Amino acid sequence: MTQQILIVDDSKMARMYVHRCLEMSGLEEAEFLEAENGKIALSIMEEQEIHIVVSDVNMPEMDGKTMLKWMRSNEKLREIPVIFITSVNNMAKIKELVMLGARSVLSKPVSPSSLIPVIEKLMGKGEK
Amino acid sequence: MTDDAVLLDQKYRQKLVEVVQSSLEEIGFMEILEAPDFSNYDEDIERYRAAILINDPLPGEIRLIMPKNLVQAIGENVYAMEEEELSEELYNDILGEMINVVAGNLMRLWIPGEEGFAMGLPSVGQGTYLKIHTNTNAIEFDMEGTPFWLILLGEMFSKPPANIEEN
Repeated sequence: MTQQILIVDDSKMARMYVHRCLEMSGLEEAEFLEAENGKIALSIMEEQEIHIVVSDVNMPEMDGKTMLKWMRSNEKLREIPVIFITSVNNMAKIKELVMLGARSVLSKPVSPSSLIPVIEKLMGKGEK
Repeated sequence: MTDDAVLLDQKYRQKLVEVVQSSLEEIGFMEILEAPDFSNYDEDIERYRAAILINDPLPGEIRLIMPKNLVQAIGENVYAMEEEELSEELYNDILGEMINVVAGNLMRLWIPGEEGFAMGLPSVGQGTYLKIHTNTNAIEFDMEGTPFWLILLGEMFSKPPANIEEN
């Protein structure tokens, strides 16, 4: 089954870059969808079967943290793993996002070498 | 100014330089050098400014001033795009990402541990607003022979981070 990955970032360039990194992380067969903010991402998740969300944190309209809270309160969306990629990446922020249910919090700029172990772990978990 | 204060200023500046170098080299895959002195500032060159506000724990602002040709070179280099593919929106995106990463990494100098900090969304526009050469909190860098600047404003950056003072 083709994996559907949702990339959420208000920057088009950042979405392109993350897309390329994900392809280099072993997801070249996946189908990629994009959203400019958490609000648009939630509407896509309601309509499509999304397997992994890779999201920025600071975004206009709805930030990543609020998006995650909405996901966790929605039965259909609460199990979708979310990976955050953020420039505001100190221990306090990582703890806060992990407490809310983020699977991983990576620093910007992300690289395939930082994404590969996270993606592999998620894919392995999905196969069990 | 005492010798200790001069040494602290040098250490502080060096740390800022290192953070900007490592942040932008990771994004742009291009070598960044600290300029030994301010170069002649050509008013006619088209430049962009990217700014981000620091809201907590203290107010501040971080700015990057970069010539258009440098942003264009980064776009071509990183995103494998031709000059004609790079729109104004993409220039803004590139600079927005750069200021985001630089600001996040700089803030970790001041707030390294459990304490949180809050910053706004990046804003990008044309023009510099500030006279770079008269600003004491400006550092000039060189990428591929082209100068660009980092400017730190506000209370947040009025003192070096505590871990620099301790060293």
